Amino acid sequence: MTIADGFEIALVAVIVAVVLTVVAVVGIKLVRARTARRRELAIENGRRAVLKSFDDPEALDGLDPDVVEAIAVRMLSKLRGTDRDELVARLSEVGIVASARTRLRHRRAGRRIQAADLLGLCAHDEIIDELIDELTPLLRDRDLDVRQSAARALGRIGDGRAVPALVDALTTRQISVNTAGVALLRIGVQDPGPLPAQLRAPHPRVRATVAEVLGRLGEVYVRDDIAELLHDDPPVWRAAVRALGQLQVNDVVPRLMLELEILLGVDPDAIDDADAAASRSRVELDSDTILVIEALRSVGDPRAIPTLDACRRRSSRVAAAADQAIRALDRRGSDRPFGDASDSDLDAAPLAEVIPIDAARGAA
Amino acid sequence: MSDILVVDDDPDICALVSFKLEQAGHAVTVAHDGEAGLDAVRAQNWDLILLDWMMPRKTGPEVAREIRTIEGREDVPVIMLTAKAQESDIEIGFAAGADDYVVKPFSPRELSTRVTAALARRVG
Repeated sequence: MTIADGFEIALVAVIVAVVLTVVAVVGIKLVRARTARRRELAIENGRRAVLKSFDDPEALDGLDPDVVEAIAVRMLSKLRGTDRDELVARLSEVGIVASARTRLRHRRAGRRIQAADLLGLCAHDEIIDELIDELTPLLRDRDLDVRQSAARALGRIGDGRAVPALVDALTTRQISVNTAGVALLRIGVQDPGPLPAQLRAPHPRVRATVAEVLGRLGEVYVRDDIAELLHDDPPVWRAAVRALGQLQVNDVVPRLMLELEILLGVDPDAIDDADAAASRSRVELDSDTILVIEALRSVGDPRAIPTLDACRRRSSRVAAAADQAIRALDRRGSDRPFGDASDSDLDAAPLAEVIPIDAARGAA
Repeated sequence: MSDILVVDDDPDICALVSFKLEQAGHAVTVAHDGEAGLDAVRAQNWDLILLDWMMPRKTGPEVAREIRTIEGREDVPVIMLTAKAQESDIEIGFAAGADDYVVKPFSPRELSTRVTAALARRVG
């Protein structure tokens, strides 16, 4: 065999390998596309059947339970009222709810997640106690997504008995702050009673999250407890400022003005950003000042204008925020804020895009 | 029988709303984004339009504002059906020309009632 023969064989081998690879890739893509189309068709058929089940209880018979579950989870999260209750009843009648409860212990995490999601949406009075007992252990699941879905489900169920377990999961970082916050917010809409005590929880993450939740819920009766958190660590302080702004009660204005005066009393040039022990960097000083400005703007009491005016001597960012706040307070005097698009900026917080309070009140 | 246009990119919402409104005796057409919705509005006179907010290509308020500038469509009832429920959102929706505002999660029965009321006002 000559070198030329060797090259020829090698070239053929390479060409064959390339062709086989291309065929394999195309084949895999075709199979995936066909599977996706079948799945879409199954979902479309399942969706029609779920809708039909509002009038015909037998419409779900014979359908793939996985497909029914997936559609049910999607639909239930968008519905409230009698139709929603009827769909939950149908799902219970055909055994979907019972099946989901057994799958909370499935060996595959995906199954446990789907089961938890469904149960959070299908809870009704007769089974709530049992569901809380069955979902709570999942807050210690080995899989993060399972823990998060269990927290979501407990939030959707909306019963305050789940608060201690959620707080524990938040404290030990089993679930994210946002997930915990959303769950506590949902619970708080229906059952805010257990929450205020958590403002004195040992862990700052809990105090901060609960403060924000109570602020969003508009629980004005805890404003003094939240104001106490203004003596707390910076993350908790920030949550307290945001919450007080959300509560929009005029009697917190002197307290917020005092915080602003304290911040204005700090000389930014004297801050050593390299000093890790410093309580605030220069950037944080500006951000925290803007936070209080926005809280005062949200409350809407023109008593704050002189203190806001003093903020104009700060950085351009702070001055701009102060200008906006003063203009807003000048416009409305002591009236509630008139919404404009920029007011949505006040919602930017660790709980960020949570759930609208009105929607939470309407949904289970 | 009324002709209702549903403009929403969520297939579940489209299916649910269509099902309920068809049950109530209306003829329902669906458009899955803002531009398609506007094309449908220009092409035909509708008795009522149900409009989502967060959609590709054009948002609900943008569509609502444009509807009010189309000759012959200025008075068509528009109901916003959206998850955006802050006060400021509702104000924006009405300022854009919506006649009613329904927040998601929603009650299909309540929506049907509002549709019936809006259609009745139009006839009246």
